[in-house]
Amino acid sequence: MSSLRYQVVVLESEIGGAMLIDAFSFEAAPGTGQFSMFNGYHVCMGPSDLAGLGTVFNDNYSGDVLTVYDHSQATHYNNNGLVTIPLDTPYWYSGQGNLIIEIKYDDSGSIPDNQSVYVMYCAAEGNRIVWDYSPEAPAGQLYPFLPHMFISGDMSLDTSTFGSIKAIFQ
Amino acid sequence: MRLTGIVALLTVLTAHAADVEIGSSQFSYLVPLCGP
Repeated sequence: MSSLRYQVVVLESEIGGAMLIDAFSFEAAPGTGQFSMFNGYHVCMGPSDLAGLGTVFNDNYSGDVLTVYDHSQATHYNNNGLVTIPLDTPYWYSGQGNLIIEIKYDDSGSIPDNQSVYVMYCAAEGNRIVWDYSPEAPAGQLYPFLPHMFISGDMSLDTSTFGSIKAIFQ
Repeated sequence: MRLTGIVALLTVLTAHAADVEIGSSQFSYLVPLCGP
């Protein structure tokens, strides 16, 4: 069984604007399980000034952290190659600065061995993820990897301006 | 004839659903959705 504390930092330039985030997804690697079960799954989000993470989880945040998903039992399905975590509480990303998505889970229970869902990554400049195999670890290992993921929600309000002229001839 | 012009500026605010893609697929790794 495994447990985890994990952070990924997503850059402002990658998100591209303000967004009310209501879900995020990972690409499941081919050939892995159709679902994954967890005894506890906790996700929080918060801002960061860092483009490369440090080893100490809490030091990577630059502002308030919001719990967006907190389930004592969770099952995440591999749906056509995507594993989606719908947030309990939407997170307002202002469009300024970077975003940290933090995941903690504790699989110290009796979860069968055939339900893993592996995800896809790419190489990245800087340490974009940090993790440790304990959900309560204060610090973790750094890796220059970035998961292939989708952040879903309502993009910020688009502003368009137009003028109209109404002429009245009398 | 009298011409009256009314110029109106209207700002339209709209929100749209989006899926922002981050990263790409180069290799698989264990976290963050591995079970055992």
